[in-house]
Amino acid sequence: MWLLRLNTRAENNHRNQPTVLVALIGALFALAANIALAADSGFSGGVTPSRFELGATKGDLLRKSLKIYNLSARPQQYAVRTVEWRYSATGEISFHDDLAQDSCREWVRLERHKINVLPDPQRPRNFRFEVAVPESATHQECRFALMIENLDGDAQADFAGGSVSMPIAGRIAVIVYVGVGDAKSDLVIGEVSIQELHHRNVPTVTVENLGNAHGRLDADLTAISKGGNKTPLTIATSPILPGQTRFMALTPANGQALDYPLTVTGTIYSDGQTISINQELRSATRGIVAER
Amino acid sequence: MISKTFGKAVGIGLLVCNSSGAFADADIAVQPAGTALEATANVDLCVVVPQILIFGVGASADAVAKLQWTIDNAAGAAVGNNASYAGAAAPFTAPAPFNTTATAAVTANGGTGASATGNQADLPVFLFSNSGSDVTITTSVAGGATGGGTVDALDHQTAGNTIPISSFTGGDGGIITQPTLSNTSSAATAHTAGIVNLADTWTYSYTPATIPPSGTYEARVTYVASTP
Repeated sequence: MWLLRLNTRAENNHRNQPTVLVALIGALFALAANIALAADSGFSGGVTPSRFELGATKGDLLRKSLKIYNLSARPQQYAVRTVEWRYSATGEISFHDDLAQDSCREWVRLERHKINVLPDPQRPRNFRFEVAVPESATHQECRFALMIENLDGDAQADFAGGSVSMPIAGRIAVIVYVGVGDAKSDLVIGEVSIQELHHRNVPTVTVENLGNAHGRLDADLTAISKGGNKTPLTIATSPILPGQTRFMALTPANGQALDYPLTVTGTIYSDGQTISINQELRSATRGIVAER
Repeated sequence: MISKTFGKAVGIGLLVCNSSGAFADADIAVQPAGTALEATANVDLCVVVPQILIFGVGASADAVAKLQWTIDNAAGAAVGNNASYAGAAAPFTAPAPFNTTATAAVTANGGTGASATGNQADLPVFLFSNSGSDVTITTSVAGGATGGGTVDALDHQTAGNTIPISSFTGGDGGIITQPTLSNTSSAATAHTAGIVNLADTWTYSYTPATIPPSGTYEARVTYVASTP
């Protein structure tokens, strides 16, 4: 702490600066004292499945399990808990410990909160959880995540030496959807247009979810350039949550660059409906809406 | 660091298709005389591949990876076996006659589960998913190990002393996208034909804007992998 005081003096008393700096440099050398390095470390885990998309009726008790793998070098103790998650229209996910207003985490019961897993990819730990849907539940979609992390005893910093340190922790979140009763998506497919996603201008399909459960798209689309070159396109399969309007990216399946102008043609499938697409994109400039 | 063979080893756990109520397909051939007998029976082959997500940050062991940096005097003797950083972004410059020796430098020690070059600490990262969708990785940054819990800053044992996370620059090798090094950032790593099976090295460089008061500064960066 004496360095802290010296530093303060240096700021307040310029006449003493040279003397202070000599001391400061000495102190910085002291700061650079060797810091004991522990053995290798990190988070290496796996789960299967990585997502649950379940259906239930009021009063149901769903019993499910997942397997948790420890792919590190030593036995691990993992903590498992439920968390809220939010998903933005631009595809960014965030996790929250506080109960959301419409949370259904109170329906969830976990087998345990801490489990021991052996470091053997052939011997995962089976982890069970239950979702007890109350009789009073409305037709809705219950969404939560199971957060899995390894417990570590190294959370306390070592005050004896001076250092700047940044522990890096890894976690896996298993996303769970439970559609209650008649909850279902109602996806409305809109225009094909160029939009900026992740700092790149890419062709997209606009889709709006008017339902009360999440939905996904599947597609069999091809981009045909003016010269007749055909490039198969894949559509983003990330969820469209109720009430969201999202731009779903169309990506060349072979990783090649698209040659504009081009025509996007084919079929989009969503929850029982089939939509034919045949639209032209003049250039890769954002906001260019396709010509029908 | 787990190798890609780990993912393969885990991924081989195939499940058997629903076989309840399955009966053998049988056929009896009755043909006119002089016609070759022909009976056909079908066998359906079905493989169900479980959905797997594997995420690794840091070397594979039992603790949270910890990146560490020290601030020292670049013009002085080398400290330990660290490489010194002699870049232009010195955190302070002393007045004459001391300015020839008073350039401070930042040295990344690598810390646990990481390696280092100059002021940059490197961390191995591994990601496997066969869910058919992109894997999203989110970041949260908060001091807390030293008490404060300040968002987007490294805390010190003295309340109020912090190092902003903006003093650090995150990077990746262009394979697994590192989310912006700030609280609640998020980045997606795209799948190829439904599969993500990638290894990368994430980098963290510390370039202090000012000399911080002595002591230990710490913030935990937590990455969460999911396939929503």
